Amino acid sequence: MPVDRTGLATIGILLMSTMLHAQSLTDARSLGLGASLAAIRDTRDFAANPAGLIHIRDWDLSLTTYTEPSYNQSGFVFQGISLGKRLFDGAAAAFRYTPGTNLTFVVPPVLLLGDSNLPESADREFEYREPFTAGVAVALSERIAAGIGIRNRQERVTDTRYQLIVRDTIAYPVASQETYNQSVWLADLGVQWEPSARWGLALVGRNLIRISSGDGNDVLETFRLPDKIALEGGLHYVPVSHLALCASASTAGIGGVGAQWLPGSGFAIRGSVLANRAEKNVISAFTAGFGWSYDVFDVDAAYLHFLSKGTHRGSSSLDDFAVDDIVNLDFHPYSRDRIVLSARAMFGRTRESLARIEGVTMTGGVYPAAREVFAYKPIGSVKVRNISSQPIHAKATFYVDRLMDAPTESQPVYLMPGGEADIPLTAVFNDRIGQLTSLTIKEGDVFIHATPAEQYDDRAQTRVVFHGRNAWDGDVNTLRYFVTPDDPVILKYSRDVLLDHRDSLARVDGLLEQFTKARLLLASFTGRLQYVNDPRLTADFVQYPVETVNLRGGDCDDLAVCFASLLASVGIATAFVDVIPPGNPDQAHLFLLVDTGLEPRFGSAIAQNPKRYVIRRGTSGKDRVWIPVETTMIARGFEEAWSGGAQQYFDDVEVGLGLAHGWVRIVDLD
Amino acid sequence: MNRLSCAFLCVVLFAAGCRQPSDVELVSEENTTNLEAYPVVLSDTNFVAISVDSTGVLPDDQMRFNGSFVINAVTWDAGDVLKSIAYSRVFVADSTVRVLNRLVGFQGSDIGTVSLNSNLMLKIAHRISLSSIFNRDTAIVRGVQYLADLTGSYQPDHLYTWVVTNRLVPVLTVALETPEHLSVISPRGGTTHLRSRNLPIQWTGGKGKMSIIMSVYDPVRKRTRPLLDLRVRTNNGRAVIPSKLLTQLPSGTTFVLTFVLANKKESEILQPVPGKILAQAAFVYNSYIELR
Repeated sequence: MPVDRTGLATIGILLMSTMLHAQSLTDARSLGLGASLAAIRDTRDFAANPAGLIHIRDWDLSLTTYTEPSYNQSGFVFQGISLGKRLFDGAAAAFRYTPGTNLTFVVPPVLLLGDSNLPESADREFEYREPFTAGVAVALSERIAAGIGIRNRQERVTDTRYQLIVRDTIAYPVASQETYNQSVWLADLGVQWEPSARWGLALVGRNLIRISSGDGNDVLETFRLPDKIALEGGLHYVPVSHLALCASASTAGIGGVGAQWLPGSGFAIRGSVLANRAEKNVISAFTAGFGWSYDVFDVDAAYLHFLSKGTHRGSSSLDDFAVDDIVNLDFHPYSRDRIVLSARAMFGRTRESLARIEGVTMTGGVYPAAREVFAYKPIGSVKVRNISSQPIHAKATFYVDRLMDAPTESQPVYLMPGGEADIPLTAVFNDRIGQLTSLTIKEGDVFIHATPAEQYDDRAQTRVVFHGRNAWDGDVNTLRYFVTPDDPVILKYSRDVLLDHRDSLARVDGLLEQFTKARLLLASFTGRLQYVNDPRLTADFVQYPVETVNLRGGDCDDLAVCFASLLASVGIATAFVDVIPPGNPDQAHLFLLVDTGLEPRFGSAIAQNPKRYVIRRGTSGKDRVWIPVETTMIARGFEEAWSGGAQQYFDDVEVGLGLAHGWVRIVDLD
Repeated sequence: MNRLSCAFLCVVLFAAGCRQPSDVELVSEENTTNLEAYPVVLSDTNFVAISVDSTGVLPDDQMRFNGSFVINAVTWDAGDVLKSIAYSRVFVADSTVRVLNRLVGFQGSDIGTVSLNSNLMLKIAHRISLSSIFNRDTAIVRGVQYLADLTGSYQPDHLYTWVVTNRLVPVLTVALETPEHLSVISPRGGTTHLRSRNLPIQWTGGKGKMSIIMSVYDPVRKRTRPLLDLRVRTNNGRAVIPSKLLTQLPSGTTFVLTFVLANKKESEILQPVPGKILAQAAFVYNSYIELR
């Protein structure tokens, strides 16, 4: 429905409502909204619409107190306490004790008996109370719920009786007070329909069943509260994410319209206009309120102000008193301005979910060698939907048992009601992942948390593929994670080689020291290494350097990784040159660039032929002389490997323009 | 704010609401707590009290005091008949009068000459009616009393002084101011009122204490019998007799509301019998109404 038409429809309903008992003063949220019939979702004011109880998750407790600031008395009156419990999935029940729902009229005595000073305070007193309410709600379908409310109303009239007792012709006036009580049980039936997250409709039949017991008395009958059957309707609409509109109306002549704005951080600002046909002005009062939600707690405050004081000032004309005008014990022509404070708390294991997982997508398998990358690079994503009627901040957590020490948590994502978002999942794996020798599939747990809840709103399990420790995804960028210069075996090997040549190293010109170290390290494998041809595919098996050193053999990836590790262990920078010939990926190859540390002007110090080296800027940011090394040719000597590498570089980069066309990539290793 | 703080807030909300809900007072324009009802007591019911509707002195006061110095402006309002008089009466008792061993009254003592504002009062016979014993209009004379007709000369809010002279020697002086004028607005004489409805009473003028003596009137014997002394708590010109009391009144239909606005004081006398006398200056208005 377009917004403009919706708005018109809403205004229409709001206007209609002024002609038509739905508001209550028993809770600050309800009072602030003014017309909360369709917006009741917990024990707060559930008596107005018992079907709303269906939304409580487990235990639900609410308290209300109020004060009347303009009345000549200070202090708070305890309005009531409600306790609700979800019985099972489709039913909930609540009980309310409201000593504050009490309306007492006092007619001052016009004549006192001077000798006995009777009546003491009132000629007549009629008190109306509704101290007990019980409600049960049952879900008829996912979107329709019905509820039954039973209210106990107590009516008491205390009346002064005069008598003239004649003794010896003298008439002695005496007074006595008689009290008459009546208890009435009234049953209401409510239906709540929520066709979507934005709309809520409620219909409540009031006083459908009436059972009374007590004293039969003319005075009691004269001042009995009306209990005619009444129909109440309520509407709750969320036109935009931060705004909710409410309207309610009753055939008993009470209605109202209200709105709620959610500025964020759990705060709510509310306002309403109330109407009562029994009043002189149809629009009889307005309310203003605010609320704050934190965790499982809600605190609300509301102020009710009557536009015309009339009968709302604590006293009224006896001659104008009409008991039939009191159709609601909380909101009636004799209610006074008041400030209402309420608190609500939820307890137990379950609560209302604010967000739902629509799906989890894993981007691929996890390569243990590259486990650090998943701390930043998403391992997958979760699609989350805000299923509440308020904006939320949703966070996702991801956890794989044993392979992670703790769940990782994403940044919060702001979601409007009904909104969806993909939240990336990251993971910080522990060292156990390096012990996986073969492809393994594990369960990954995904949780969604929507503030301010501490508990998760939804969870999902997904399959996570873990490759063996030597598996490589074929991306040269992730090959670096196999480079382990800190490995003790690598460190010892490189130290031992350099130690063996310390004398010759001592004689080398300082400019050539780095080049000489590289040469010595690479040459140490001459005649001792076996190349095993392993054409690269999208996924590959890569040996860790220590394995290559121990095995004395490997393919181009293994050797490049191993030599890069050895050179890095003595502080020499290297870079992978990844060559994937266009149209022929099976001929993909990898060789190494080694930083000699020489400035470009000293390139001739290592080779007269400039094609044997490359001037490039590595991670140091300075132009240096780098030498290409075909690691698969190391077994035949350093010079041959250098020459082979230079030739390869010349063919692929200089002639084939592989870098320019993107089929050659150079990945610097820090 | 943690959960404990929130729970504490809930407890505070609960504990703070220690007051009871306020009442709504239902009052009406005429509905003010302004009357205190007392029985009109007569300790000896054979005593023939002088009618309250003319003296404004309650029967018990007539028995309690040795004598009375009274100046009254009295109006009887029966609707079609309106009669007003003003008079002063001085009576000092010196002994009781008994008939068939029943106290029927007091003998009036001759205390000499009595003047009111320098005007001599008439000394006349003091008659005691025996109707309460013989049920007919029989009277005996016992002693004297003093009377002055002030109709036409009575002045409200004016100082009146009685001087008693015995053998040319002033033996007693009593001075008293008459009350302000009182106008009864409702109920006026001759009106009919339903017992099922409150009877609003309204008057203007007058300061000081006021009582409304409610009497039942016997039109055959033309006598009134006082029932209730309704004392006005605050003289604000307004009071209500509740219907719940009206329905309890005797079944007679004619009642007299005697509005008594009086200035009173007590004085000591030594002769002829030591005791107290009542001095009263009163405005008395009798309204005859029908209650159905």
